[in-house]
Amino acid sequence: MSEAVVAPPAAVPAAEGISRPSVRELFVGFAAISIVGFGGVLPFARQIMVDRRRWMTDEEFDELLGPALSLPGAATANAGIIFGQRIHGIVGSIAALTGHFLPPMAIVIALTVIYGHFGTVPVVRGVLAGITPAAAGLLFATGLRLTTPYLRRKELVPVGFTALALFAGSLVHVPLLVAFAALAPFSVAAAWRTAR
Amino acid sequence: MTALLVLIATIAPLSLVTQGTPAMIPELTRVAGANGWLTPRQFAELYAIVQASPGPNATFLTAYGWRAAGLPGALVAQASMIVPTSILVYGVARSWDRFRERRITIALIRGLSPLAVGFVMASGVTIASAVDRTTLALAVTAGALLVAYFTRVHLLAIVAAAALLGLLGIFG
Repeated sequence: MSEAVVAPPAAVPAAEGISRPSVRELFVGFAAISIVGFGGVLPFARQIMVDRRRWMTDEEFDELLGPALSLPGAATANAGIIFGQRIHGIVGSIAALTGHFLPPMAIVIALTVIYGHFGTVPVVRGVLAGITPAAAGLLFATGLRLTTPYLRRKELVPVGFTALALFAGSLVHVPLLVAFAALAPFSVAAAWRTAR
Repeated sequence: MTALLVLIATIAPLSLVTQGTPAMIPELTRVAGANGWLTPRQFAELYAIVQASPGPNATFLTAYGWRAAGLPGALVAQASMIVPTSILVYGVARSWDRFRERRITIALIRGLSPLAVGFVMASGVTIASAVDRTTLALAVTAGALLVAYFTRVHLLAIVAAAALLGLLGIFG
């Protein structure tokens, strides 16, 4: 753990005009990203890390995105774990991760308490009656956006698995893990045949 | 204590297979109902609030855990998602360049992503069916869907517009 701080992985020399953040700057930077990012923080992450603070080049950011988006977990937090690890070892990962989660967690707790106390006040009920159906619409839109590329490429097998997951998750009342365990082997096997 | 264990047992495995908190909504709603933490409607409203606030959507788990068991619940619920996924990412990221080309990695990503997408849309169904199924609510859902899908309007602007409609009292 400590040796990672003393000797950061040597394989990541910074390009010209790029200045790598300290552990503290990592924490503060990822806190800033989490606070400004509404409804998906990834675009803000690029803006802050590449354009404003010049921690990395555009190419380096794109390289982070592959694993950050493909692996489970919040994408920006994943990018922080990987970038933090590269420049400061595990301490860097933890700094980015805690910076990214602690401020919004405090905000969410405050909102949850407020909701508990004032959730029945008429004005609040009015706002909630507006934003809750909108939230459902945004979830559908996210799903459709992610499905569209498959439809464009006429890859109907993955679209079929999306439909099955939608069906299992919403209409059949089985636990999600059961639905996942039932569908995943077939979906991965189908993908295996096309993966080369 | 039991609530904390239920949070861990529910969230930790899901966090590794769903690629994001929104896909967990149907399951989290079910567990919250079974344990008396939140009604489906309260759940949907709380999710909408968190989505309209800054930070990753994953912080919904903080709100969820708070309703289950106060501050310890909030911390445990959030950690149940962060810790397993972070360990995986930390371990795999070091040798991502080696893994990414493997056929099994490609098959896993290509195979699991469509399922995650389906679960996200199932979450939309869960939230939509938790609110009063009035024509107006359906219209707001459809409107948000269409604007978010076909335009580049900021998501927060869509939520703000819906909040304004609500403030005007049109939902009665």
